[in-house]
Amino acid sequence: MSGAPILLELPSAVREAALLPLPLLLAASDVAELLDALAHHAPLAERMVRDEQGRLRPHLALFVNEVARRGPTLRTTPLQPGDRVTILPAVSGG
Amino acid sequence: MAERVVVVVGTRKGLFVLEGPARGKKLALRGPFFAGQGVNAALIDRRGAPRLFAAPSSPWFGTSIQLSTDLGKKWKATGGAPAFAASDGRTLKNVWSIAAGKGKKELWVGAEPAALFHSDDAGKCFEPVAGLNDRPEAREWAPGFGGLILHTLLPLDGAFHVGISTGGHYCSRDRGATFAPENVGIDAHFQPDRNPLFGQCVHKIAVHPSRPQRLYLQNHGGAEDRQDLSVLRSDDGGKSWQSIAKGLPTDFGFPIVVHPHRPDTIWVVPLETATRTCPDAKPTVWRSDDGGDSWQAKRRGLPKKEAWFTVLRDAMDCDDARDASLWFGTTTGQLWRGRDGGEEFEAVATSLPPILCVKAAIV
Repeated sequence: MSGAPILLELPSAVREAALLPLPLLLAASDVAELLDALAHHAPLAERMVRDEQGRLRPHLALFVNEVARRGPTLRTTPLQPGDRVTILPAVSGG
Repeated sequence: MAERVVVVVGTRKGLFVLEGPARGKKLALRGPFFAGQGVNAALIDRRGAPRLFAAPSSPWFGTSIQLSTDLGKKWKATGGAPAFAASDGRTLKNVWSIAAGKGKKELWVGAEPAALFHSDDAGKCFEPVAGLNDRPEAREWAPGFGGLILHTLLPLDGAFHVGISTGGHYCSRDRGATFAPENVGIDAHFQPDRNPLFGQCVHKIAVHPSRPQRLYLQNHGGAEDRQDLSVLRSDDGGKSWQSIAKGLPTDFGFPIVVHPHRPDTIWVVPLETATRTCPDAKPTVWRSDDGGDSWQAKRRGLPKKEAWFTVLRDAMDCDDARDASLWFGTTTGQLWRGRDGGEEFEAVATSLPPILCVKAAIV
């Protein structure tokens, strides 16, 4: 684990289920490290946003400083000190 | 004290619980719990004080196992949920069955993609069951229209039966350590070899615990050449199966339920293959009181025409009152109760979301 604290914003359903305060400050240098840190800090919250193969759940969207990140490079997206990562339910359903 | 009935109804948009006097007219309706989440599996666990388990599946946040100790007034996550090992490569999509095992804490869970999970602490932790999940042909099981699902769990003394669509009937005779396919007589008309070792599209299996050698099975059915193959009975503990579909209008359907007090009484809901609705759009439950040798149509109180709903595989159950009621839910959101084993039906709820599972018991 390396890097400066990153602000991680989680969906309210995750915060409520995992009894998490906001904001979460976790040290990480990329998105995968950030979610690994979440798994260490709050395993239930991590499992709600990431499946057992370490992939972001398909109907969630992840933003770094309000820029959507997706696809095969999501995990290795670099993070800088002071970055804000936001995970939101994507527009989906029926 | 008067008997009370509890009915747990899993829908596409959450879970509902009905409760009240078993012989009364009105039941209290609670819910929806887990609003917006599909609930394919639930369990009324009466090992000790009644507990309800349910498996809501969020399209965004995955599947959890939830527990209520007050008959569905409040729910709390058990803390654990089934998951594959990272090295397995598979990802849990949903839970389709929950069954009580030995003692008060053992649980078995059937999942999508088809896999079995075990908990010995009432759902705080789950472990995948290698004896089934890691069988070499498990990666050859193929999804049916509803997905690749393990939907039936029958952990009996001496034999543990599971049903997989599309994988077939598997049985363990060592308490879940190892499983093997047992599908002799179960048709697979959608394959060039109609009698493969595994790969049948079994829809549901039922058994009365007092007669573990006799099992009933609703298979996919609806073959073009024959429609008398796919409601089945085994009299040798699942090793071989014989059709009991003679007398039914079709052999396609989803649920099959056995009476809690009469092991030879079973119910099915035959459906047209194309529409998955009852023939002539006239809902009918068919009951046999002789193990499937003969059948009677039960439709008093049900719509007489123009009813285009499906009864899904886990959406029918029988409570265990002395004059047991049959309960079934429809994809159009109606919950029906057939008092006295289905002699006369009444709509208990008419506008729920599409119903995926129904569990009923006296508490």
